[in-house]
Amino acid sequence: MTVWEPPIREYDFLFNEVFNAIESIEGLGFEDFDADYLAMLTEGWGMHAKEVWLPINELGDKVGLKFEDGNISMPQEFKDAYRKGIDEGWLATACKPEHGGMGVPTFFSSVTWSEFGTSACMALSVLPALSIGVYEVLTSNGRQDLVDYFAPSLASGELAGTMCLTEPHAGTDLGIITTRAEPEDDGSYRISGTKIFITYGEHDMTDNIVHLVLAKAPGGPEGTRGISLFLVPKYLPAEWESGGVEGISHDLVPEHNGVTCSGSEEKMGLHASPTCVMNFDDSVGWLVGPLHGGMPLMFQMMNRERLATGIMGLGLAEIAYQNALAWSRDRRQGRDLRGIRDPNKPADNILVHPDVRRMLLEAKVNNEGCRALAVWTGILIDQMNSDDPEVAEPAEALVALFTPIIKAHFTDLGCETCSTCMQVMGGAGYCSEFGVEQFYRDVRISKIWEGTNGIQALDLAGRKITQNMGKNLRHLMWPLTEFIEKNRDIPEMGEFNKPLHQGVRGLQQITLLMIAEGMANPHFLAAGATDYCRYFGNVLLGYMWAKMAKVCLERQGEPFYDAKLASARFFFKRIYPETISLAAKIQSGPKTLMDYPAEMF
Amino acid sequence: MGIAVLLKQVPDTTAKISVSGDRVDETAVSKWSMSPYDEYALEAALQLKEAGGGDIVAITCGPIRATKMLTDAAAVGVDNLILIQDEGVTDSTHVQSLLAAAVKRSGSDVVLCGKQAADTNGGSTGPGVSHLIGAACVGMISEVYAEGDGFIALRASPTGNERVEVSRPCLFTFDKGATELRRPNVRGIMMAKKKQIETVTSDDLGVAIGTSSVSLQSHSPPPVKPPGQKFEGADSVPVVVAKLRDEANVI
Repeated sequence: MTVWEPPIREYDFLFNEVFNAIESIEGLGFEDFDADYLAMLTEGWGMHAKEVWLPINELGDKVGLKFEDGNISMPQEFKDAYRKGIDEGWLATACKPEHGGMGVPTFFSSVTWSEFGTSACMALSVLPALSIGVYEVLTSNGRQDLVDYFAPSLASGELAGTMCLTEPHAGTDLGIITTRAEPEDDGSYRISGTKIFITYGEHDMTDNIVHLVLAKAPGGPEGTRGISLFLVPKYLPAEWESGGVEGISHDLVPEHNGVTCSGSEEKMGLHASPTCVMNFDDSVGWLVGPLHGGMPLMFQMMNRERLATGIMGLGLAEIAYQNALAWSRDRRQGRDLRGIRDPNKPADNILVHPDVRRMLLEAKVNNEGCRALAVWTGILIDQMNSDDPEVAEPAEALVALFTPIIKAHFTDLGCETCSTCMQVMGGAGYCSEFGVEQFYRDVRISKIWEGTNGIQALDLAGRKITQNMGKNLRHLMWPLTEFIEKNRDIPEMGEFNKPLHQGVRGLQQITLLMIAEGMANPHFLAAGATDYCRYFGNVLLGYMWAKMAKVCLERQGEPFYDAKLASARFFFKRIYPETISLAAKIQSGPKTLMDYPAEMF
Repeated sequence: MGIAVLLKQVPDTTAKISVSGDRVDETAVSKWSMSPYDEYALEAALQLKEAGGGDIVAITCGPIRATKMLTDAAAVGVDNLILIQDEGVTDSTHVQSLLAAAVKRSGSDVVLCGKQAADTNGGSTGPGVSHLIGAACVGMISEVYAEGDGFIALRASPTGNERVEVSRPCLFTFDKGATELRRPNVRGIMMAKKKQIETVTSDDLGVAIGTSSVSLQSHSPPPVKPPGQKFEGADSVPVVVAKLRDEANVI
């Protein structure tokens, strides 16, 4: 029996006290949005996730999906829960009001929504998350008739969407895909090829599915520059004969559009999230965006999904922590080494043991730091749409910089935290009765999805740092340096500000080293990328903890704020120091990796 | 049909309570919620509206923080919201007078509320209001539906289930109801945000709050629980049995 309470007070603190989220999005088209509305949405979604999604999570793992004759049937409980999400309007938070959505800010729709959804039922949460990704690519790049026809049902959840990139021989290297798109005279295309690892590629949760498929149309250059993006429905509209879909009814042809599923992978976790082999055989599709210009669009969706995946790490780490904590509060083993605490009981509660506290605090403090960074990033994504370049430009730079860090660091921590929480519970943690072993298996994919964490680290070190002559990093260093300077003379801030300052200086030095050495030897950059990404993640979480501590110092004496200050102290004393060893590893360069004889592995 | 539902905001049943100066420290209550029996009344009101139409007015008597509870009620479908500023009223007859005046002013002819509030557990509000508005009172019900011009209410009795027929005007107090309060949906939350809360005072309602006829004479905390006793071995059985019989009076 797993437990979970949506961390509503935490979001209230971050939205209203740390980041002033409502003020941050003034003038960005959210005029109706205020703190009360945000609080009601947070509570309402938390209640829905807890009452509707959480109860099916274990069932999804135990029962899972059924693949038979090319069809995937989902557990009835999943269909019912998904339907309730549609009926109660919770799947449309991110979409625009003109398509029937709520049009709420990203810091709710992509952060709070994703965390609660993945905590309660990660296997279900990925379905609407993918559909919204398709919705965003379609509405910002698609032909008007495609937008009018597909966007409202994608927004509500009546229609599901997928992204089809990977092929059996082409995963990270998409330039070598072989799926073809042949143009027809009516402006549509015929798509043929095989795609693998397609999440929710086939299922019976919705009447129809639309796939965003990467394919190569004739006349394009080699490599990724020759890739185009196509919208391919599982079933075609019944009234469609040729051309577009303007003004036609939503009735469907009973036979599929050459889109078939030939298998679903057996996986370590996420047993109720289909992972499909999809075949497209002369399937009708429509171009989305420019011909041979599909990759930037796919990256638009991918960047959104990378953030969502990072927050999956947080969501699973949070529910694992809550279950480990609930278990710890009841568990009695051994005695406090400094003297018996509870003489009336045969043993003391395990919270008396420093090592149990270490594990629980590592989980809690990393979760809270990640949540803060996620909220800030959500606000920045909204600010990217500002007309004021002084707001939009830094926001864009920071989001570009943070995306690989959130994806990699949050999911690394998510996996570590689920493992640590299992460790807190000993043998019980390994048993399925208590849920944590499921979270551990479910969260593991997040390090692989949407570009492995190794790829994220290379994206950060090899691209995001040097992009536009280092502009991204400058946009981070300005507010960071300003914060450090402002707090330099506040004695109470010293214990947070000083290590932050050291970490930032270290980050600058290591970044210079990576760039300088990397220019001469790209292996230097690649060998240090993963450690660099983790170093960077720690500095960002350090900034978040220093910012939170600053707020809490004003309200000392109240238990919530005192606990936050204690958490900030724990972070700087017992998590942040790993930057020292990470720096040493980065500085050692690629020699020990590359000098090792390949034949001796 | 005018349906009034009387709601009270109380410390959440999971909230930590701290006592300061022999009283519950309200400023330290971490979470305030709608009293659970009132939630059943509200759900029943929503079902009455769905079955037979009419507007629901939610009325509370309390401090300004209670507006949050009213907005939550609007999110599940309440049409009108009234906050009676309590002006420090603690006497239950005063609260009843204020609520009764607000009900009368709303023109509602059926009133629903919880059988008691989760904080004070007095249980006097429903019967008191029904007396003041001249309505029949059916207490401790779990379900109600309209039939003809009146209503049928169901309630458990020691010998089985009672089915009570009552005509308007009437007031029902709810025990644990047949259905939990529904979750707010997104559209409801969006609508609730736009809903105005009418804030009224005793003067607005024409109720003269005099001095209270009730005053708290003294307050003493519950006696400290005696420490537990431990018995080991089969020899202690007669002693344990004697204690259970003579001291604890449980056998």
